[in-house]
Amino acid sequence: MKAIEDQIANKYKHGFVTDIDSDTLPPGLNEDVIRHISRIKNEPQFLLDFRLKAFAHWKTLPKPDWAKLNIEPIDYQAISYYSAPKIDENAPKSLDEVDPKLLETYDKLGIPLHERARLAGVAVDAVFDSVSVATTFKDTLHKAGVIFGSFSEAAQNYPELIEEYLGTVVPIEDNFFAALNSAVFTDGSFVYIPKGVRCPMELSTYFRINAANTGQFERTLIIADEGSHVSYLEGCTAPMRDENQLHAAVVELVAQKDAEIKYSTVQNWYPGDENGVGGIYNFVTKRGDCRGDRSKISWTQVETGSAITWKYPSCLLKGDDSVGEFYSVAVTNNYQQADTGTKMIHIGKNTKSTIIAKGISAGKSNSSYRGLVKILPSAENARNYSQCDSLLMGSTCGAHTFPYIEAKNPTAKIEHEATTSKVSDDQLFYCRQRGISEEDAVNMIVNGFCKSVFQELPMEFAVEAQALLAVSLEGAVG
Amino acid sequence: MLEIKNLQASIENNKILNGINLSIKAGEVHAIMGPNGSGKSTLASVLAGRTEYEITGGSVTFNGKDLFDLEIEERAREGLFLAFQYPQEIPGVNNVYLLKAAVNAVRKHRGQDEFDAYDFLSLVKEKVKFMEMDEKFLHRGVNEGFSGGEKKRNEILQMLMLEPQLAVLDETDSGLDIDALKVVSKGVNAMRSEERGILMVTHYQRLLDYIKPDFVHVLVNGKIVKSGDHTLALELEAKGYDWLLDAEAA
Amino acid sequence: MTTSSNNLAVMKTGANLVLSDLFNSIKLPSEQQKNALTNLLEQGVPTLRTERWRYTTLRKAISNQLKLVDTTTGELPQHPALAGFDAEKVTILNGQLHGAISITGAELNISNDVSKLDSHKHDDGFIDNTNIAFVENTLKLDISKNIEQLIVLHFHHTIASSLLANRLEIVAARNSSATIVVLHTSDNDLNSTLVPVTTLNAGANSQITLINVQDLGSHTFQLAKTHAHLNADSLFKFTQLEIGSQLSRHDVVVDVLGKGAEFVHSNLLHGTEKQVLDTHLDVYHHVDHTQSSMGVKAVLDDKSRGIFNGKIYVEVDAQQVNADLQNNNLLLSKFAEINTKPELEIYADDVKCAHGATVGQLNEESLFYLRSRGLDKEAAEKVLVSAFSRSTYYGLVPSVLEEWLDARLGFES
Repeated sequence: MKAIEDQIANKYKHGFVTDIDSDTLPPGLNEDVIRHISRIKNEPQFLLDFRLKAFAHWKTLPKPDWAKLNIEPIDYQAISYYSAPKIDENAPKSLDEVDPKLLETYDKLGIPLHERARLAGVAVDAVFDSVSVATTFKDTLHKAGVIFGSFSEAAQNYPELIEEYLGTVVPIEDNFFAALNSAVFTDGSFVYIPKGVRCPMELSTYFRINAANTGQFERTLIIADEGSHVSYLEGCTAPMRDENQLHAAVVELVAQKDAEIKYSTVQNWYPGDENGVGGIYNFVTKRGDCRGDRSKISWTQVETGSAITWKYPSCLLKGDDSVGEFYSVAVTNNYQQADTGTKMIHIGKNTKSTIIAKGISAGKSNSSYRGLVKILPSAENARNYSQCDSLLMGSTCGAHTFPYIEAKNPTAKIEHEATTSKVSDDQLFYCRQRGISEEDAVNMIVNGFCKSVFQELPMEFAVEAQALLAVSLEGAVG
Repeated sequence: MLEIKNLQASIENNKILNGINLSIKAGEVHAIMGPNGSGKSTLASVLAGRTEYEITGGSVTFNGKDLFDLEIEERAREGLFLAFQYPQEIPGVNNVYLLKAAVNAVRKHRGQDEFDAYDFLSLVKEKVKFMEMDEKFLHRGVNEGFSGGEKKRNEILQMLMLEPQLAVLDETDSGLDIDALKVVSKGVNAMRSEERGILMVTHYQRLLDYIKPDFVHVLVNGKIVKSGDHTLALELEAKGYDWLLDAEAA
Repeated sequence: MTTSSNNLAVMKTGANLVLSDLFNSIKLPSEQQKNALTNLLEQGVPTLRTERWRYTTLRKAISNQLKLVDTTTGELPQHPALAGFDAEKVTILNGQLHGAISITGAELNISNDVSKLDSHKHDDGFIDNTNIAFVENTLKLDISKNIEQLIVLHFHHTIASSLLANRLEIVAARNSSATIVVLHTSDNDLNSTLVPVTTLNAGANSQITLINVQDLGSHTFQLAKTHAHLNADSLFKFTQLEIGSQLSRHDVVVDVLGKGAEFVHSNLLHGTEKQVLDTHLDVYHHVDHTQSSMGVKAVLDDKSRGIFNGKIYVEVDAQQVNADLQNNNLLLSKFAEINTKPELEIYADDVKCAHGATVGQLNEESLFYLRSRGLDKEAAEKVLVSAFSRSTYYGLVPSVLEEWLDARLGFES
């Protein structure tokens, strides 16, 4: 097989900086900064208390140190904790009010808000740095009784829902970054689907980190009340920066009785250049709480970006007969490091979980799957099936699998399988003998490897994911 | 169409092919027979462009072009098809998807329009039926979990779709039961035409009962030691290879 | 001997203190022993916060009641497991050697020298360091040719509240082969802590079968380590049966160092009552064209806990490695528990590595089949459980040992 290492490494397509005035807090973190954020956002008292409590706890925590991640120490005092695009005092109420440059940015990202939204029937809540700037299709959703908008707005309009649910899935004590996020989160999305409602469209958010040295701390809260159904898409991109930028989001999902939440992510934040300079640090806490009987939460993620990813979307299967799913493709190239996986905690009876994780490592990158399947004594007849496969490209990358299985109930049935393989010369030869070019053959094989995850994505996301994969791995096969 | 002149090849410094001369014209069916380790499969692999073999001498032209100047996929697009002895499994890649990508790559090379989805599918279904295969095979991963016979049928299906100028069949009959052998032979015979050459590499005479070759060559120690018409195959069946081995040694 | 402990005051709490005090009672520790203690205290006795020990506490195993063995008396045991063997038996009673081997090609000697195999920093070194710090004599078994007869070594312990470190070093010469049965037993109520370490250096093209049966008394603690170096074309078959003890932690480390070398492992964790059975298996493929195949089964009843951590590590450039690890677990009681983690750590791309783990009930269809043939549910379950456990030793150990194991585990043969 002829080496194609010398192919020109693909440059990050989304690397540009939008030139607009930002209202940015000076770097540093203390109580005053938190009070300031809360004041700017005109938050109710309980939210400020929540933040301060989290901050007090965060200060007591040691900085995390993970074995498989090679992390340069982060100076939390060098980060600016708030950056809002400078616009009129009030947030824009419609697309017309949005800074045209912002819209242009989205155009470059390939998500022209109005067109895309209308064509695809997708309601997009776009988060630019830290403030939600536009939400489309609010009215259609409103008629169905669905609440979908920025977290800040929800804090104004539905404080009782926020107070009831915030921090109940990811408590402030959960981990270092969850505590930090709880203290300083700036904005994010809020979704509430009332009882018995099937959300009439896919909900979608694009996150984007723009200002230099701003950490982004989104807070997303999705509540599916009894018998409701929602599919939520999250896409992430960031411009090219040399400094590493911190992203520490918290996503909380609550599924009540008979409710179903499907949460899909395509993450292609700036991974750093081919020498490992720059890139996003992506430390995210995502957790779904299957609170009610027969509820279901399904996580699907395609992770191709970020210099470092630390992310374990998890499910607490509390309700009887509840179902948790995790489908993941993680691609690393050059010097990227990804440590991702899931936790499935079986608490209720007859709970079921499925884990399909595909890791692709190329260049000098390292990819780890870290997962936990825990069957508590109360979880009669719990079932889990896990499959973790790694595909290696080239001899300078690594793939690691750390699946923790803890079973404390004799009726549990758990199956875990893992394999490591490469794109074999024989497979490539076979495809090329049928007239297919080497690059197409590699893409074909890689997509085949990821198929069981891609088919869980909504159609348009699946197409985007395949394209992303091809871009991420260009020049990776030798 | 195919001119092999004094072809020599080795792997890890072991000489496998020791000067092969063979000429195949359009419309001809050739069979290469020989004992295990005589270099039959090596010849097929070298023609298709496997890189682990080192060409140490000789030349091969295909339709006037130097075969060794062409990449693997260029040879395929020029019309050289290899039916593999051990077809690869490619998990997750739809059989029909590979087929479509391959057919369109070849058509593009020939300056033809790509098939539209409907035309393509009706053509595939027709060929699938001809090969007495179940349509569900189209939507499974390429050769994934196929039995030996199913894999070989799938190879011939690909050949029928790609319509190559020269088909090289590497031990296509090995591991087939009689029913599968008949179907595979039917597929190959359907490909016989004035414009097309076929080169069969086989250890057994059995296949030649169903696909009657115009020429039979015996390969021993990387050299063609005897050529003849189809009666040579019958002679080999009766006498084995030993008499030729002895002749070679002497 | 207080030199090393002075500047390690930070670590001298709890279990660390127990070990350093114990060490002070050694009359003339060697430099090697002193170094081992220094390393031990620098790292400290692992706690539940130590990743490799997150499910197994050493709190009871290393208590301040421990003393070192100061007497060598004791009655030579007659263990039923060995009754059927007509092979020569060597007994190591409370650390003292009784008997000898008179097989040509196999030599058993006692030595003061501890030749620690290079660990490549695979683990925290806790068991190794503890063993070396407290070991009195090392048994050296040299295998120099093909040996047909079985070699049987029986370690037995009778002294209460003691810490005893045995060490067996096996060196298999080029082209040699042998089957070695090692049995570890103790008096049933013995509350001692045993720290046995076995090392194997398998020479080129050697074939060594090691059968390690742990049937210690139900109050005894064991912290064991087996460490093998496999040179080119060697084959190491290791059958590990963990049956007895209150707590048995066994670290198995295999360095596959030579091309063509192969490791085959079979392991049974058979837990009842409140037993804790913990195996950490680390297989390091350092070079290309090597193989390993590991099957680990846990059958856990009552309030027993099983812990299994299996890691396949493939070094950069160790291409064409074929490694497979399967871990299957059965929980037979509401209170039994299994914690398992089959890891892969791969740095070479042209390898075939797979692992699988299952926790589950008995196969419903087999159960149905047996019941349809007239067995009642309980009997059918028993048959399936025994078949599951037996597969870890049937055909892998001498038939007399099979028979004893069946009887010991209550299986009808």
